[in-house]
Amino acid sequence: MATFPQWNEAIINFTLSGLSLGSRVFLSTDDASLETIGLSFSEPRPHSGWLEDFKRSVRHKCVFGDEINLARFAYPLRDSKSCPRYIPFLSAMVLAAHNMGDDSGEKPIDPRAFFTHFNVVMGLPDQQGRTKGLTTGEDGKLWEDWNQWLRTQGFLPTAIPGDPGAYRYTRYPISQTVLRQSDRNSLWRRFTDGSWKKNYDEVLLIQRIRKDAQYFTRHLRDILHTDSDMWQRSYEAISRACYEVYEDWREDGDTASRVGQSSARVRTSLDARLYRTEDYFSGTTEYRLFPRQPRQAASITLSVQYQGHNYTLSEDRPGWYMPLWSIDAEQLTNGLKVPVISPNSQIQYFYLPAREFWILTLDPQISESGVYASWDKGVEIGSPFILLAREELRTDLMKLKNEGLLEWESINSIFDGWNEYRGVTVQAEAQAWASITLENDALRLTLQPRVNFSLAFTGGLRAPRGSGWLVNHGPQVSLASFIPEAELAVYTEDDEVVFSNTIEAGKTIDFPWGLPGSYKVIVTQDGHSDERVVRILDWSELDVRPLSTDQFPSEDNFGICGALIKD
Amino acid sequence: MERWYICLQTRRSPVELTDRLSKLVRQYGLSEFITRACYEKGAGNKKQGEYYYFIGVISEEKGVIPDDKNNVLHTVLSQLSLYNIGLYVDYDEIQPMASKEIEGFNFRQIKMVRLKKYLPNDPFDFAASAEDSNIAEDTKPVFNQLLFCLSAYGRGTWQQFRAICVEIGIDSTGEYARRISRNLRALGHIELSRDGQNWFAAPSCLVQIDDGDHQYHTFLAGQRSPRLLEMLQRETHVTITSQPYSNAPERVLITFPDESAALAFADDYSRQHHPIRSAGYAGLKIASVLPSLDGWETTLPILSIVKGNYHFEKWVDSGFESMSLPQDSGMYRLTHVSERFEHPQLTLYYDADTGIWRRADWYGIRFLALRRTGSSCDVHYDPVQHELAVSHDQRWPDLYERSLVLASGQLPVFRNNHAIYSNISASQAHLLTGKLGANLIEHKGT
Repeated sequence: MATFPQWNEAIINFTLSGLSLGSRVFLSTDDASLETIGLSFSEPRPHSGWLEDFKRSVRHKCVFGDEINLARFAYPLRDSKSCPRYIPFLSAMVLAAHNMGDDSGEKPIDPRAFFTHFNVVMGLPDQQGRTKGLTTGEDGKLWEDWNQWLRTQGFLPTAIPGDPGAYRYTRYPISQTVLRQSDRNSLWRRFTDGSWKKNYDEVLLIQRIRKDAQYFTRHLRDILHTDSDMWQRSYEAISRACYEVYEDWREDGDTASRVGQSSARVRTSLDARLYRTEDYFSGTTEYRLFPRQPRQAASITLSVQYQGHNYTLSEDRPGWYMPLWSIDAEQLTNGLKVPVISPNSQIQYFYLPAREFWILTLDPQISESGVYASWDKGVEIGSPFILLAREELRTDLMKLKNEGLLEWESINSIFDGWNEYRGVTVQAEAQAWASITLENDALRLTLQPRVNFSLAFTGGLRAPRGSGWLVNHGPQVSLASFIPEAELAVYTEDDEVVFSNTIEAGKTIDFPWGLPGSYKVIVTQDGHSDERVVRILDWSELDVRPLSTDQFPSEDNFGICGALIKD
Repeated sequence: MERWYICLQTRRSPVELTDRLSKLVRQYGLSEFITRACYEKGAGNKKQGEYYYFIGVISEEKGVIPDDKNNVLHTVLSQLSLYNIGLYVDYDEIQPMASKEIEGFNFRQIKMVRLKKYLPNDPFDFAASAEDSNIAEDTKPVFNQLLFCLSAYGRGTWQQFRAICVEIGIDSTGEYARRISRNLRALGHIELSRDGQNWFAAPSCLVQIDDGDHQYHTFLAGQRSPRLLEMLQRETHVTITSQPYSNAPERVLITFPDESAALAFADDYSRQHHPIRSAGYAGLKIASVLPSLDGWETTLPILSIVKGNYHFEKWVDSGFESMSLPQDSGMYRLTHVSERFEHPQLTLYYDADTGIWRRADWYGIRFLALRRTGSSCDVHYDPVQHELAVSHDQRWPDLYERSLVLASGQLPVFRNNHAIYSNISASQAHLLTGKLGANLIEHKGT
């Protein structure tokens, strides 16, 4: 049985694992995620399961008599390492929110029902309305502290309060459920009823789901709508959550309804993406396999046998393994399925999906590197990207170019039947794409912008792993937008405004970042706003990156690596 | 949704009208309805006078203006002195009369900042970059920061290396980075891949040097961090000295009572943080594993060059001379004839007997070319001062030079057109000059 502090630490680790700094964080807790988190404890699964263990732990710590007693677990809010101490309690709230809504998903969520579900989770099913002992607003303080802590760690919080009124604070946990139980069920049903293929990758899946939006719950339809704030700013989280259900469905076979809700997520395969390198001297471009790590999973050992070579998959960065071998036209066109050897996981294969096109963007952590890969981020307005597309898509792409919706610098043929469009930029906003009909609709859905403006942080001296910028070398700020200007505000960790002014699209601001710390940057335009976090680090925070023994091929250098000679 | 056009008549300048319309569309939030505009061929010509101006709109049905847009559209048209006469057309109907040059456009095109992009260059071609004398004294700490940064990244691309050098202020254009990387490699801090496209931080190690007493003297090579320096300063005896021209990270000299104390520190630190190894006399060890010049030549990467694609210049008497096609063995500079692609200039060694092009660092190619074309190479050694002087015009290939630099942890000083390397033992001097086929001339008190 795990203790409250153990759950606290495990949930935080699980929530942040595999996320790049700067990502939006959802404390999305459901039955399956708690079962998966339980696997990280070094003890056997309790007979009643990890979900019940979680509830037991939370009730034991947070409930005294028939009342919630925050003093027992929440104050002081932070532990000796300045980490929040109350996360299982917030997770219990999200678990309750996750179970809200009827299974048809047609009725809007009624915030009044929140405490009915929450009281059940807390083992107080007889109570009606707000749980005894939980004073109005106290839960809000915990959520705001969680948000604040995430910012100091370089992440973007997503928990938001509702409008002023009786249900202002219940909106916090509800905002954390990207998909609720009913949404997941509706996705599962559609996958089965529609006999969906099992080889979609995340990009194709989300396009397919959007096409079939009418089959899903109201909440799912709402968040898939291009006008919704969730779609515009949290696309990655939606896409990831939907893909997670798809992977569960794929792993479970064709069962008509979700059966794996209360068991840990099991993955038997990995997806691979593309990693592009260019040799300027020979003028050759290579595309290498870029395996994606399983999300929110314990560390696993994987190796691959391919054409007589043994490749051990080592981490490039959270979420990704190091690129593997170069692929050829046949593999790119038809996809690839490669057996994986893993002594401590159930992973058996990794797949390179057969796609019509790939979007490759600059390394989000080191944009100066000139490395392009199919990271999760997808197209961001104002950031040129590379589009690798089959020849058949040329007509559609020319149409987009002629309509002034898309622009590119050059086209090169890298593989037979494939073209590489370099320096591609989206030129017009989503509305202008609405009336365009293409042969390949996924292309339009992927390329058309989700938002009308985007902040970019360029230059400066980035610290490794996207952890921020070094002091006195902070980034420049620029706005890519279809509207000429926006309002920009920068706040310190103490919410003190250090900058508030208009920013003009297409111009760069040399912002005088101050002392090390986290800065909240908010840009507002036309009633929409976007938040980013910029972390400024002191030099003393830099540590050396552990080197893998085989990273530099010293055999080409007479065994010499730096001042050492390999034995 | 249908896309159709509202036909309007006007005498105003089409450019001015379009500009004004764009602003009004933004001001009144009509961009979802009005998405394009175009105008009649020849519009704006005084002789033509009144012409048709077409506003492209999107709605459920052609000719039907949504209720919520109607009033605002009327306001916008009024401000432009235009009047809707109810004439609505498809683009196909007006295409013949709309000027080709002035086609439909989006009212709100993206405005964005383009990322600064460095043209590719050859990291081994450091001769093309500025000389060391450009480095200002106050940049010393910046080179330390550069090494901290590279150590933290562990590896990266050449483009990233250049961007870091520019950002921290030691290279204004991204060209001088080549010389910086050569210095860092000579000091055992980083490595470059054979194609030059990637750099790698070298492992942290303690390199032994002689200082004429019974203590164990070392300097730090490879990865370093502020924490490592802090710990060294706390637990050992550290002396930090500048490089001769302040053009590289400072030398961190660490003195231990004996070798076992050094190993104990390295073990202890490795257990708690990252590995630190003992490299011994790295300069001498490297000298012993390096091959002869012939052996070195055969290991150099071969490039396949299509002669028709390049302009050729040959290195003759300290300068490049243009020539049509390479005939003799030697050092050549190749410039791609195509301006369409971003091909960096290449400096290569051409072996006329085999027709093979080989790639190496700039000094290395020049040294090879000089030796292969019969030039002798005199090296002066002072066994009292333990100094070795290599002519500036005959600098050695980078790995051979690294062996010299690691004997002291200091880059050479330049005197009388010679690069002077310190702390070189006689055995190391003999070993290296023998391998390179150079004449070792011993002096006392040069």
